[in-house]
Amino acid sequence: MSLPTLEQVDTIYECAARSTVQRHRVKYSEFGQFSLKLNMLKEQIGESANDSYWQKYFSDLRRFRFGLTAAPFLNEYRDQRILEIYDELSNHLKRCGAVYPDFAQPALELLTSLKRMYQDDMNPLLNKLVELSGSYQSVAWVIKESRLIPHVDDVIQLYPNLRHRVQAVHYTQMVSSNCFDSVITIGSPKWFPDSIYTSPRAYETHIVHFNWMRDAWKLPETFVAQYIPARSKRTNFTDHQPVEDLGITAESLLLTIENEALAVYTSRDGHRDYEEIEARCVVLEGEQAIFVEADDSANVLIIDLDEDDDNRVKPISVRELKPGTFILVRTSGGGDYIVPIADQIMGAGASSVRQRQYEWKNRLKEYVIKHGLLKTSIDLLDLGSDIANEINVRNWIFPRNIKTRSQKDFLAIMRLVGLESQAKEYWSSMEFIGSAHRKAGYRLREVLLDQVDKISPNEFKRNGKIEFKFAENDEDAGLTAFRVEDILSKTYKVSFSRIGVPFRLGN
Amino acid sequence: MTHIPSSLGYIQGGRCQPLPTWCTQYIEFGMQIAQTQRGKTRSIIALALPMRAYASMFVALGTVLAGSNKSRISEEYFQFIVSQPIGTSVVYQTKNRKLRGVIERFYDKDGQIHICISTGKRESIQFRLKENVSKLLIAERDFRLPNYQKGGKVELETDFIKACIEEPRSFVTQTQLDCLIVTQLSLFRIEATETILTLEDSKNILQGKPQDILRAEQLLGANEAYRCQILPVSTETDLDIPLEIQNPPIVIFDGSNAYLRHHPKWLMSHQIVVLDRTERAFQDAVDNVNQRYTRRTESKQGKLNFDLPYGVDAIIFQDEI
Repeated sequence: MSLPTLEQVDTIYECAARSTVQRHRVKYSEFGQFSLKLNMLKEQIGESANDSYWQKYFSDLRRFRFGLTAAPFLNEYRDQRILEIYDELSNHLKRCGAVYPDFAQPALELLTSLKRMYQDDMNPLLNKLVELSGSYQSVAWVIKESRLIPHVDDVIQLYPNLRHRVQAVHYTQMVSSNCFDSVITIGSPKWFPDSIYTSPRAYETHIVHFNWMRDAWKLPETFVAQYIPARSKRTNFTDHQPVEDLGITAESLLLTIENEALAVYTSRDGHRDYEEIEARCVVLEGEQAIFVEADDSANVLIIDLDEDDDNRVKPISVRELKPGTFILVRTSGGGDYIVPIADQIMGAGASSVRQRQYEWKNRLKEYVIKHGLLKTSIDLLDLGSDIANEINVRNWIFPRNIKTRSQKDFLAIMRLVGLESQAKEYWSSMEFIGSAHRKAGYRLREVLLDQVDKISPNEFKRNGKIEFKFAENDEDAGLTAFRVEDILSKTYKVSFSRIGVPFRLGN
Repeated sequence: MTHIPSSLGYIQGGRCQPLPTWCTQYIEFGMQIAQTQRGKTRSIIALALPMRAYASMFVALGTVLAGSNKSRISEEYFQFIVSQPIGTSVVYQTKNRKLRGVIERFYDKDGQIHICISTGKRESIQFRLKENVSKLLIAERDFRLPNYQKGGKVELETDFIKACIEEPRSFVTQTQLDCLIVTQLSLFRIEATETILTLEDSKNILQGKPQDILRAEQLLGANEAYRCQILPVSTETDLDIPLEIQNPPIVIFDGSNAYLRHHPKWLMSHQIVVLDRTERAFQDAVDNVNQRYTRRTESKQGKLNFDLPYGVDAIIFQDEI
């Protein structure tokens, strides 16, 4: 983390001293009507909206709606997307009448409402942004999601008078010491941290969104009992424009992942109970998500740009994971980034020890298939295990778990699966793997620290994800650090194979 | 120094600039808190800032400047020295020389604890400990004592220190813990040692670093008398706090993480909580402070009266010791 100069910090205090925040609501009734119908249809369909059939339908429409409320687009792009979505979803609805007869007609009507915006000359959001950007020398258009920024860059490039003055920035970039003449946030202020308005990086902050979006946002009070010295001055907030109240809350427009939809998704692959593990869902930048083991002893590797240079890359337990940090995900291969590096470290010995790892886990799994989790754990207890129970047996079968913590439990498993005579060799093989995994973790951290140093924090924040290569010309070691947007509070039982593998709902 | 001179400035891009108002406001704030008595209660003050860079450093500067006006015998430091085992290597600083020694014994005379320190194989010094404890430092490594020693030179105070401090010689030779700062050491080091402050006297523009005044032990050379201490925010939370820093008059928490991780450790000290609104843990820290406010002893907001930079929110309350 670099330290700003006193002069830069002085400018920030100057911004805080002169700050004004003004909200502008722009009118676009057609879009408001479409949004309202979308919410009403979803409500009408009820629980069935989580079925994969409707997930596909709603996900395309909601993504389109959110994009249009959260960033300025050219009308040509909007029209092209309307046509694509209309064609695709009309096709998708062809058999709707047979499966969901009550909903086929309203679903089609919603598409008609979408098409009403096609070739509409209006672009009130973009027009307002251009108007507010005026003749300032430096203006930031603050965007909620990094994936939208390249589109906004394209729009800015098409306006010669904006090109050199306006920057599209992700909201997480608004914590740096860079200041602008004017900052414009696009969308509801509820979508952004309050600090954008309470610690402004400009003398003027504007909020621009459609007038049919409802939120009860006000400049927040910090402390319950504010100390007010003689020289105090508060940010001036103006919000006079009328709301077209259609009952559409700002929160309902966000592309959140719903628990019910996730439950449907996780049950879809038809895995057996011995192949599942308790997991938490981590929502990532770019409308993706991953499952990570919920167990407190399981670690994930993160990049935390707020930490000291030496501590930026570190393993933490899932419980400590916080939105805003970057989590490392293997985007090629099976989701585990340590295994290929550990195998490289073990060299020629890797295949034989991996074979042993596979062998005892597979035998244990076979036993579970035959006798069930409960009987397996009772049998293991009889054979000397201290902690065998259904959860632990499941964890021991989990391919990414290397061995039991205690040798006593391991010996019980070896006895159960007919490998007692080779228990010592198996245990030392598993210790060999464990040691290689630890070394792999160190090596990966070193390489990442080195690569992270070369990337500016602003680039990290703007992109929301950064790809890394563990080794030159290594096609199989694609690693991506994704910004964590949310960690869902519920846990889910998911198949082993889903752990660490990014997915997108609705696809 | 009881007031900040208007000529206080800093060097930016090779040019001398007046110190921004917010910096002097933080120094004055620190000075005022340092002058607040701790009786049955202590003050908790939390500040919400647009950016926390330099803020804790200038507040700490104020506390040390205020502390330099009133030398006080720190009971905690006295207890810390008394708790050292016989044979511990120490440095004893008088105004003109610095002696290396080894604690030979503590003894009671006229109801007062005295200390005897060997300063050579054939010489030793003895004195009443309480009044002189600030002249003693625990050495960073063990010494092999010569037969006799003349003593090393003490650090000479610079013109900048002389212009800022009323008794500069004792300021640089005597240890007195005026505040403890819980912070990210690497950033604080840059703030304290790479910022160049200026002070105009009748003839010259004097230059110095905040560290010249702060005298943070972790940023000083070996065996130097200090005025404040730094606890890195990354310190394990369940680690025992050394006796030396268990009861500083003021603890400054630089950032939400510093506060959330470490605030329960100091139950007797005034607490200054410097929170940056853009930090991820900001709201958690504010919620915690607000909760503590609801359990406050009594509100004595009228007692403290200081200016804050525009855009900074604050809460003040008293907590029972």
